[in-house]
Amino acid sequence: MPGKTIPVTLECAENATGGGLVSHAEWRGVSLASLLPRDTRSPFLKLVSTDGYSRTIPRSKGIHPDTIVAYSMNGEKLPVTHGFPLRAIIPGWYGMDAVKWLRRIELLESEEQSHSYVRRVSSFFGVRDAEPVTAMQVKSVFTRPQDGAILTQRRFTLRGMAWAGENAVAKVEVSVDGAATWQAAKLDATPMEYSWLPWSFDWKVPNAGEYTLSVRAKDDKGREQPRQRAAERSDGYEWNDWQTVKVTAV
Amino acid sequence: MICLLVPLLFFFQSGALLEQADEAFRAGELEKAETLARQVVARDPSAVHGHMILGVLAAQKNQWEVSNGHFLTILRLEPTNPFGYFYLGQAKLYQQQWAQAVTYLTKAMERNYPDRERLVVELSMAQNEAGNPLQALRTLALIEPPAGARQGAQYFGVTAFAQGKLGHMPEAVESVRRAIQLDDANVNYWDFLVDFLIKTDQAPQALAEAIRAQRKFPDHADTQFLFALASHHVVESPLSKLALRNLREAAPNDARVPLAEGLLYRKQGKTEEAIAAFQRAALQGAADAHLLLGIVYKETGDYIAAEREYREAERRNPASAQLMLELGKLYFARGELELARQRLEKAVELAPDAPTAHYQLGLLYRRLGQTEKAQEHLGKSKKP
Repeated sequence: MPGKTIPVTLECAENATGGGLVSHAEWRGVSLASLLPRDTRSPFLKLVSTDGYSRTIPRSKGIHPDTIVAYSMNGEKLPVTHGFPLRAIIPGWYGMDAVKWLRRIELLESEEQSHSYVRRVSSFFGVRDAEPVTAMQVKSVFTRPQDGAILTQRRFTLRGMAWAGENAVAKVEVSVDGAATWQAAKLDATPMEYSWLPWSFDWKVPNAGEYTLSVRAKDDKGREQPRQRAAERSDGYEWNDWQTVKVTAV
Repeated sequence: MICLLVPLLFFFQSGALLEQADEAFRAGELEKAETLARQVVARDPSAVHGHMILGVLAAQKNQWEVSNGHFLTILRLEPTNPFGYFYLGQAKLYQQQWAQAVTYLTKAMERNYPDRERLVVELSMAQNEAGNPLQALRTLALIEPPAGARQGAQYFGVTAFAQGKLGHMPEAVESVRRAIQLDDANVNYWDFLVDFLIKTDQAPQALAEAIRAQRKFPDHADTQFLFALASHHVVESPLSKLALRNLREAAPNDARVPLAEGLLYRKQGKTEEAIAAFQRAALQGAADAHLLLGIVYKETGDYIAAEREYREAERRNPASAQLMLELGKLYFARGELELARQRLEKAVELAPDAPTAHYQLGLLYRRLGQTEKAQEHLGKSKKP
């Protein structure tokens, strides 16, 4: 079977705003579709791990050419902590679907409701139907400075990462005045679906004082990071509101 | 910063103008305060409090000659006034004239300067910087650690610096950690902590603290260089490249940039590039560039070049424990045991808590047939 290498950013669906539960790697494996019977029309695929964890994904995503069963990470054998010997990589979707230690793939005629299937859904206090958490939201974060940093000079390069799941990041903006005004940050790599990209912004610190810095991103399908998480949400997933840090220039 | 602490001398110098000057000073209207104080002194050259305000204002603007002039005038007018001595001592401290700072702050103490805690901390700082760490610790022992966070942190900070100078590394690390607990916004405490942990062979702990410090002070060159150094000492650390980038952004023309480049190359196994980078650092006068060149040359088996670089480093900084250790190891490897003994004993003297120095000295004594001494140092090399 021909192998395929694909760079993919994986974020935990529970990763907080500005949190560190996100990473990026080059994954190599075979397409998941190539492992399925040719004539299957089953609408759902259940990915089952050796530890009993499982996730069900729609067939359409499962047979997408970029969805793979990976055996290598960053050019090396898949580490045990990352799912050796095999791991599903569902590009653009939250990490919970990238089932590690993949043992088998079951073909389902309907979405499973058994207790062993961990159905992660977003929940909206009844104002909207609960929905499965699938594709990653658009999100940007600071890598420097961090909250509480003390700056001693009058120039500083703000840096961070941005990603947009199945879409590509179109724009990153930063505010250095408590979200009163926004300026475009420089995208330091070519935006690509599935992959995060670094951004930077050369900030001239006007003078000593306290500053509130914020960052937000927009993707090529027009999705924007919200200022705040929807108040009616009662689940713990998809935290992608603007990140804000406070710094002191001395 | 020098501030007017004041139980003022209005009782002795009445006058509405002086009162207005003092009010303006306390309200932060410094230009007005200066103008009024000048008028006071012009009318009455013996107006001590007028000189006090003008001296403090000049000191705040780093106009040391002017401030010294006013404070000396106060001493001439009122030789028993502790405030004049305190402010003059403080001004000398800021000018890094340590011995004079000790003299004036001691006189302030003899004249019962009222803010004893502050005086003790500043005097001990001056004593330590003047090369008397033991005296500094004795001075600090005159008071309990101050309750206020900032002054308490200074107390523990000076304690740590003095303990460090005396080679009491574990105690110094403990003291500086207490300083950071009280005031984590002082970069000097963080840099001191990381530097000490590196010097005492506690590289993983140094890196852990350096990571926290570089986040807190992302554009501080010293902090970023220490981050690079700590990362270099931890084989598994993937952070050296990040540290180098941070350092470049913080201080692009700093001589430590090529030093950090060399550290990164060395970690990547690129010996020739490392040597070239360390040579650039040496040309720019970076401390430890010759030491690092010596280390890399030794690794390549070029002991002659290694010795040349070590000797140059020794000429520049004969009080480096790590250099003495490396030079001692080189002589030991070449079988020049007497030269090795001199350097390794010096390394242990300079860093009595560094296990590696004890280990090498223990091995050397064993080779020299001095079993008892060997066991003593090999025992000390074992980490608790």
